[in-house]
Amino acid sequence: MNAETNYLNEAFHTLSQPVMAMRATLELALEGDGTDARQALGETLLLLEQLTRDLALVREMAGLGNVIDRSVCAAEPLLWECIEEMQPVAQAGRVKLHASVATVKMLCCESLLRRALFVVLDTLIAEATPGSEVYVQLAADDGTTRLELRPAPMERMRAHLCCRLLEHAGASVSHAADGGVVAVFRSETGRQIPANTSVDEGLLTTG
Amino acid sequence: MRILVVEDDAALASYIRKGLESEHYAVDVALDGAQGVAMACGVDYDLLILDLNLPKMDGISLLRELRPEKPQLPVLVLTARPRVEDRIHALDSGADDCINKPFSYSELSARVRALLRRGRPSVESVLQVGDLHLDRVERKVERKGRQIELTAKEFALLEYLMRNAGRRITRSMIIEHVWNINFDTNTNIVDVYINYLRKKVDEGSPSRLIHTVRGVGYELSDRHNEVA
Repeated sequence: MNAETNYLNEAFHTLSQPVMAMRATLELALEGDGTDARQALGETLLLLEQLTRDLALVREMAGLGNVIDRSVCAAEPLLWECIEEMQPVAQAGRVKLHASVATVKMLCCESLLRRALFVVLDTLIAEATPGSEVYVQLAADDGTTRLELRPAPMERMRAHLCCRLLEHAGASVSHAADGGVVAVFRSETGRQIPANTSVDEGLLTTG
Repeated sequence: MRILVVEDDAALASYIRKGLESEHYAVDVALDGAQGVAMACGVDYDLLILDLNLPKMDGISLLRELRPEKPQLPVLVLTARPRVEDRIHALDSGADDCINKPFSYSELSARVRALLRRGRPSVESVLQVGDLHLDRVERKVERKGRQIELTAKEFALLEYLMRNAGRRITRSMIIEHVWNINFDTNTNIVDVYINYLRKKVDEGSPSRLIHTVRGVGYELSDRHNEVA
């Protein structure tokens, strides 16, 4: 199954759940009295909110497109920045955020990797129980750079969005046997550095 | 502040995005004119950077479609056409400034700052609410002469609240403009950051500036009473 089919199936599955629940709620309300109808309307509003939230995730995934724009990225400062941003949130939820980050350069789309890490950490911290731990590890591994996140996100749509964002950031993504997410990026080898890697060096030209 | 870049050259768009993000702007990119006009009309941007040669809808057509909807939005046009007539055509069609390709990022950045300064009074380089001052250029915050140290995200959050002083701001608006995320977060990240900001801004001061608006979100104002 290709990524697009998988995405469409996932989107259909996710969106159909609140729609079905709304239908069932309203059908039951039709058979009840005024109090039941009022309660059903309240439940339907909650389901509509869920549907709206899920639609926003679908729109985010649909907006990713097919182009992967990779360049050389110093991963260590980027990861620390993302981790430090989420540290106060983890502390507030009494979740321990552990990170082990190697100094590596890899090929990725920085803005999407930043977005992916935000979504992953936001999801993992939200799903963690107080006192539990979330791990982020970045290590060089035989010509590649391996980003491991533990545990894996549980909520289906968020988990799917996390994987899609990591893939669009330039990684191949898999699930580890012990339940984590593994994103493998190509390490920078030296000859792949573009002539103009800094936005303030030289002139920007266009094709 | 949120900027939309409409540029079909993915590499150039990426360089512009990186540069602007390093200056703490929230940046979205559209790679064709049709997507660009949809995004520009659908989201409240502070500035549009627009290439003229675009697939699906060219930059001039985009400007003509956009202007009735967003007359106040500052627009900086990127053009590879060096003729004066082309620049005049772009300015007459609704652009506020033009920059020729190739250009240096420093020049682009300076023009962005200039447009943001004159575009709206609320994006002046120094913002003030009561005795709280925020200097966007120096990246300094002071309250009654007391300097307040903020992280980059706290600074962006305070800047957004101050730009919208006196208005009720929802959590969704904050996550969209400060984090550039267009969907709900699962954590209470906005509340956590607001609490950090409150400790730094309001603690030790006789009056509170950051107010919770129950059921809505937050409001920054120098009114002394709690916002109901």
